[in-house]
Amino acid sequence: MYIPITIDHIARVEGKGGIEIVTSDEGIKEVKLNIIEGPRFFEAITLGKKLEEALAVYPRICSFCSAAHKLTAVEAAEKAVGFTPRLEIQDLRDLLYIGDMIESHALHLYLLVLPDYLGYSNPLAMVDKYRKEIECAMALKNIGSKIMDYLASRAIHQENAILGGFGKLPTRGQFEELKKELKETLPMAEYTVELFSKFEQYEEVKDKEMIHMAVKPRNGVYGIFGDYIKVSDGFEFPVEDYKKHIVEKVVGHSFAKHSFYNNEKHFMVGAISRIVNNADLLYGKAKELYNQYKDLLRYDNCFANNFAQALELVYFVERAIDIIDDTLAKWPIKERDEVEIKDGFGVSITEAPRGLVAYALEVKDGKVNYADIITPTAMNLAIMERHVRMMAEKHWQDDPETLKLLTEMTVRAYDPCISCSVHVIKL
Amino acid sequence: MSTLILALGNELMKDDGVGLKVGRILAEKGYNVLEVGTDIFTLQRQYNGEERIIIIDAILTEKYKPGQVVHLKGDEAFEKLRAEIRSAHFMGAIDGLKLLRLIDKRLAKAEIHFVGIVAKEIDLGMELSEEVKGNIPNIVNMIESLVG
Repeated sequence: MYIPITIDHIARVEGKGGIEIVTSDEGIKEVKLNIIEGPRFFEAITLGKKLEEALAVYPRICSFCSAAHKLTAVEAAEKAVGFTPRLEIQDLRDLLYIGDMIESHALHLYLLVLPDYLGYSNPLAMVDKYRKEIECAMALKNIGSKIMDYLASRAIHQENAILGGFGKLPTRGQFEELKKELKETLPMAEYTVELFSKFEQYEEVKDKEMIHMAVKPRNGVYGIFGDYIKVSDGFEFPVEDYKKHIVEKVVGHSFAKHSFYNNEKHFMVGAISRIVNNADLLYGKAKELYNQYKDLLRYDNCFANNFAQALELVYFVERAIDIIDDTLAKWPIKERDEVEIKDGFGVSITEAPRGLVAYALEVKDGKVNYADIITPTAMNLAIMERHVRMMAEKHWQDDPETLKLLTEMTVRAYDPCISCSVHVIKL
Repeated sequence: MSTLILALGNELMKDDGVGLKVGRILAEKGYNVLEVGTDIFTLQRQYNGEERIIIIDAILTEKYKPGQVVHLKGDEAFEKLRAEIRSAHFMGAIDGLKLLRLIDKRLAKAEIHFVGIVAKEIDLGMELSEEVKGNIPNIVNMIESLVG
């Protein structure tokens, strides 16, 4: 007899997704991650639109990581028209992106993941006993949002990051204010590492076959932008070759496609994938903490992604302070350069909070002639489903609530953004 | 009494944008309006200790007709709206506000009003339904009388 166990809506993740597990007397028959978020047609919407207009549409894919979508799209567009930004502008784009990274990691770790480990159904229920943790979450989220406010005009769907640079830069005083607040927030980021070092990484999903993909940072500093993708099996490829090595496939039960490395292998992207591929580029307090907790940053367990995000909070807070110091040393900085819109094709792949995000844009007569976007969650879905199955195989005979919790926790470890992952290329 | 008007919603989702549109009209008239979109947590770092907070957002309910206004005050708002409004993420605005009030003493003291406008349709699109759009002048008047 086949018994279906269905989780209609995975709690505490962005977007609409469910888990369907079919068991029989012998064990698990089928496990599906059902992505039920409706198709959103973002690529098709922008075809034929003026390039600048399209660049205002792409960040609307996601409010959690709108800076990631904006800056990746802008870089792809600049590559398409043959423009390279100055180093100071690149650094400030890094800073803007870091704001997104800090905000997103803080919300994911404290409000989505932590209730599981502390035995609560939601963050509201744990405030009385864990007030400090909620205060940490809000302080980190607030500084991330403030960075985005100052650099990009607002925290969500920023308009100020444009071709060639920024519409307007923050004042020197605003940069100094950000630096002061970042310094005040650093102990909270360090506390996050200490807190998450105590939590279990479930052996049920230990996966020796795991492959991790991350950007090879352009300037040799652990971070976000790069021209090559590093794979944990030792292979590297230029971002322009992404279609050869990241192959998307349609699956019947999901509005989001599944992605495979070299057409067949499951792979993961995200904070742990960045650490696996680029830990040698960490520095400062984050490097010290990496050395202290190296054993928790496991390549073979998706739950390590939570701890990797905690470590990245420390890294990105420190890195933001360094970028502000460099910016102030070079002050005043010209906010942008003119960009001549020419025909061309460009690809950018960057590190969104939850992993690689790829944009390919073709510009013709000043308009978008082709657009392709692959989001981190679309890249992670296939391996996420494999690990949900591994978890279900070990717990299918447990009570349904335990099975539900552990499979949902597996999904949450990937920090999925389901709304982002759903897209259709052609109408 | 100092008042902050919080405009919530997503203007890409048809009637879900009504809170933002009403908020902009009130801002033009000189009222103290903060647009938070779908991120209620923005309130904490932008809050200046106003004694009264008026939240404007769309709600989905079959109890009232599209465009109608529901006004809830204080605890009533927290009790009745728990499952009524949800951001695109994981926590409704009212739950988010509840969380902020538990960690921020200033916010805990503020008098809370919720002005919900019954949505006809929440789906991709920037136009409001006729029913919702047609009642905007009344909604604006109602909020102005609340501010006093």
